[in-house]
Amino acid sequence: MKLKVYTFFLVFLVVFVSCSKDEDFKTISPANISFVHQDGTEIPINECINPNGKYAVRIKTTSQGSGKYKVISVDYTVNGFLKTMTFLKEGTQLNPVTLIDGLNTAQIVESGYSSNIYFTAQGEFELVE
Amino acid sequence: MKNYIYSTLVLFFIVINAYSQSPSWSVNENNFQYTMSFVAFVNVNGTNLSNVNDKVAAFVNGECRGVTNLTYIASEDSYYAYLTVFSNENSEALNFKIYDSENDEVKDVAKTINFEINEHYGNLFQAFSLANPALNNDAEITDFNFNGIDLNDISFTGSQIRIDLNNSVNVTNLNAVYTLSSGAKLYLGTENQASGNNSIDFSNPIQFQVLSEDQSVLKQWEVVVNLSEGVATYYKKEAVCYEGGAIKVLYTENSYEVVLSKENTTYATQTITNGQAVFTNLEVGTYKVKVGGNVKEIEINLKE
Repeated sequence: MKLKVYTFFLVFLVVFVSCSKDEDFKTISPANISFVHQDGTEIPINECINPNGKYAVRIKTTSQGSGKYKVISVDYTVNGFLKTMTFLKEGTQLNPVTLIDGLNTAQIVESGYSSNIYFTAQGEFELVE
Repeated sequence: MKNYIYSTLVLFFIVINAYSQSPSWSVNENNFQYTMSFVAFVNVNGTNLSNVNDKVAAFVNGECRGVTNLTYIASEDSYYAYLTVFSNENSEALNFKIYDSENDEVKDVAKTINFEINEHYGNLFQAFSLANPALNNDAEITDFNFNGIDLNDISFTGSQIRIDLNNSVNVTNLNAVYTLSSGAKLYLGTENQASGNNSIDFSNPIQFQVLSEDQSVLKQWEVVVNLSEGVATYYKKEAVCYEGGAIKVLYTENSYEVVLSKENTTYATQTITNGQAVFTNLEVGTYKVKVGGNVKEIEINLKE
């Protein structure tokens, strides 16, 4: 009797787990990466980048297909440091960033999408000869 | 024979008139009750006349009221006109004419002056100017320097010139190099000083006199030379788009005033405290920092 129950349960599992029809997914993929304000607004081209300003990296994703979203983790670097943003669905996400003096570069590892922004730090006093 | 004499006379007068002669200016002094007098120098086309045959005369409505030739004054090595003018009343407008004997020309003097009973104009140091064209009446020092010496700073305030020099400079024997108004002369006392060829002790403020080209204006100028004190070191931060530049002055003495100027205008002042003074939020430009006679020009740029 015990063997019968096990067999039935096994058949049940095979029927409901293995024999279901193929599931469709929406494939999320990154579309671009950019520097923005922390509130998500764009940084105009000639805006003065202020060390007291709050900035973020924004990654925008799109999806293809239908069905459930397939969760993806997007690896990107900011000034060479690797970071990850996880997308449960398509859209945009922000990650705050602290800018360094000079050229700041954000780049999506896989796609190679990148964005630059230049920040000039005032620096320390210099001797006047 | 009679015709011959007439012809000779006519020819004589023609010749006499063809070759101009000294103007026959004269005045009947007995017709006038009062006088005024002038000691004048006479200038035509920028050159002082220097011939005893040269003349000057004063006129009232075309009537000659005084005339004289030039006189050589050995002490000044120059020629002057001692002109006495006659009148019976004050306020008559006097015009002057010059006779230049070398060029045999009569020149009008644009300047007029009103007759003043017993008044006297001019002396050998500051003679009255009778000139055609008129001479410059400015008596300014437009630049002042010392031969072979770097100035820390120089400022003109009215008729005072303040100069800052490094304390290593020996100020007891400086050769002043200066620029004056056109034609003006600079005197120390009554001794004319040649720019770049003098030796003056500037240990104390020096009073100069500048005499205008027409000698009508004698302006007093004071030149004060200060020697620097202490040692200053200067630092700066360039301006960036979100913040102005900054200048920091380290100084070996406390309580000295630091003056920051831009375009010859005082921009800000501070006092040295704990050995330093800091000026912040400075816009782009060239600043001059002055402390204790030390001066430094510092440029604040926009860092991009």
